[in-house]
Amino acid sequence: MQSFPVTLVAGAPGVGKTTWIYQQASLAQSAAYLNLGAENFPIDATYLSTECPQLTAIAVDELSEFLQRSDQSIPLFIELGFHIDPASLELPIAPETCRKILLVQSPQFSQSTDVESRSESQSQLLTSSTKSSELLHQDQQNDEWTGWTCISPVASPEDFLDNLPTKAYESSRLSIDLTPETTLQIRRSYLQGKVLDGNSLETFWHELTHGAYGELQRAKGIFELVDGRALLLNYRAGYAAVEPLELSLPRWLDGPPDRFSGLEVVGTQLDQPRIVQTLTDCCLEDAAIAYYQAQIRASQAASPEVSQSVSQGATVS
Amino acid sequence: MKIAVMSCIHGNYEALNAVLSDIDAQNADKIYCLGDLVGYGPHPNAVVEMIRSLDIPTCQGCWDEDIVEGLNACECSYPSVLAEKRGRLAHEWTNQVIHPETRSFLANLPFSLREDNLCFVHGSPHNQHEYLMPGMDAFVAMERVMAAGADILFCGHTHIPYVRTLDSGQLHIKVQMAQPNGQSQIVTDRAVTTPLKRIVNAGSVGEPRHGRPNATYVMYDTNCDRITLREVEYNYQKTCADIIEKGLPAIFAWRLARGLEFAERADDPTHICER
Repeated sequence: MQSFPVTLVAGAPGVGKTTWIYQQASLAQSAAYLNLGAENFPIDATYLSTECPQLTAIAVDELSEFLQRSDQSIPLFIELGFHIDPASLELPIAPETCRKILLVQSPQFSQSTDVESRSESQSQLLTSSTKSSELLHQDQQNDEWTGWTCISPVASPEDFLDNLPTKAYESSRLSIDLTPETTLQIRRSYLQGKVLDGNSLETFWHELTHGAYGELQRAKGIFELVDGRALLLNYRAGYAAVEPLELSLPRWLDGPPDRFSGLEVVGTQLDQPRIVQTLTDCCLEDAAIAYYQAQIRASQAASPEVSQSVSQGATVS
Repeated sequence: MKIAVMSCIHGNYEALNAVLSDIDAQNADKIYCLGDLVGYGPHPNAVVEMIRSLDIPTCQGCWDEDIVEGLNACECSYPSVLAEKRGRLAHEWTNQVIHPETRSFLANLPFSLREDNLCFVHGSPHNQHEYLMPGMDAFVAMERVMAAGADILFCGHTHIPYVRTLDSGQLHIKVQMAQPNGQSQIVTDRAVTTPLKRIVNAGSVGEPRHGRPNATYVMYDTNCDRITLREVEYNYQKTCADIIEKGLPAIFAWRLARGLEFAERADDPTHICER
């Protein structure tokens, strides 16, 4: 079997690129990850490196050095943001040596309506892996993606059922329309050092994902809460809501957290000033952070088991 | 006699007009209003003027009190930091636009109103800011109704209409005192049978929180002892446009159009307001 130490992964926003990489990396003894297009906004890298300990996230300027010192046994996954034109890529590695994966939302998958047909589709999709030119519709064939392998990102029954689309897209074109000319906007808000009030975050997330700040296609964010947890929140238009994930990071209970947190939204007509204002209004003052953190530390010192179970019971949905 | 009871208008003149038309169509003999005439909505002066001109008996709501006395919230007033900031914004805007005669009217509203065995309050008989949640402890709920000395307690404040019937129950009180010899002696042993009581929440005219933008109020027919929850459609788009035109936060319009309350809510039925 041919070995592909470098895998390029592309796909529309929310199609499941990072999840697919997580699943692949989990099977490896070690793996590396680079996100092109994330720049210095490492939501996916933070998620992957905390939830998949054998994976190491690298930065763009570390790529050449990594390739030089790598013994080729460590698979490297390079995720391409949907706004990255694959034709514009200039990598310090021969393209023909890379495996190229294009994750697509299969029409079969979108149109499944009952549990029985879903199961059938699932088994088909799990094994479906064909050249992009064979899968794409006639009018959607694009030289840009020649040589890429199309995969539907369904990997496990749990993932399949949890992420079942609640509505079918009008066509599968959305899945492959990855040109840089897309009208989708990306807006990023840095929140490093900020601690959010959990109830406020819940209200904001509901408003955000229900269209209060523009037509949303995708949203993901890492948020620091006053109990020290860092939560990953995810939203994909047309999919069922996903439960917040508490990242496997140490609880930060000593002042404003000195680690990455932030929100990235993709959509149209996004009102970034109002998003930023609302996020700002969700944040706690330094004095409040210090007060609550002191209370939590005292509570943990008095009864570590109880305080831990109470903290774990709190969720934001 | 048919009595219409409405609450929590919150400066929403369009909703008030629609509710008054519906009350008229229901041939109500009397109207009571449970306060919160102002706050969040774009027409506080017009709402107060309408209530005043129709001479509708009205008790003072928490927002009415805050506009007169200034903000002094207990922790139950806002469920989150974001809600508190939005509430303060709405308070400051209302405080700036309100006319002196409107403020004076609000200042002179009574805390509660009575009609035979009926009592009308905004929050609870103890406090305009206290929420009588539908799921609150039955003993506490009964205490609130009995404190009002009424058979039916009409309230608002939660913005979700409901009728809660407190069936007649037995309350057994036993007090024991310790004696010098280490034994205890029963000094009080009393059983009380409580009569049937009801709490009726009128919901909200101008700031619903039931997932639809429609205004709600209740109609009580004293002849047949029947309580009817009414839901009234109105031109909420006009109110939304006015919210934005007046410079209030656009998120208020977005939330109003979806039947989501602007900011205030209480999720903890065990919380006792300390204000």
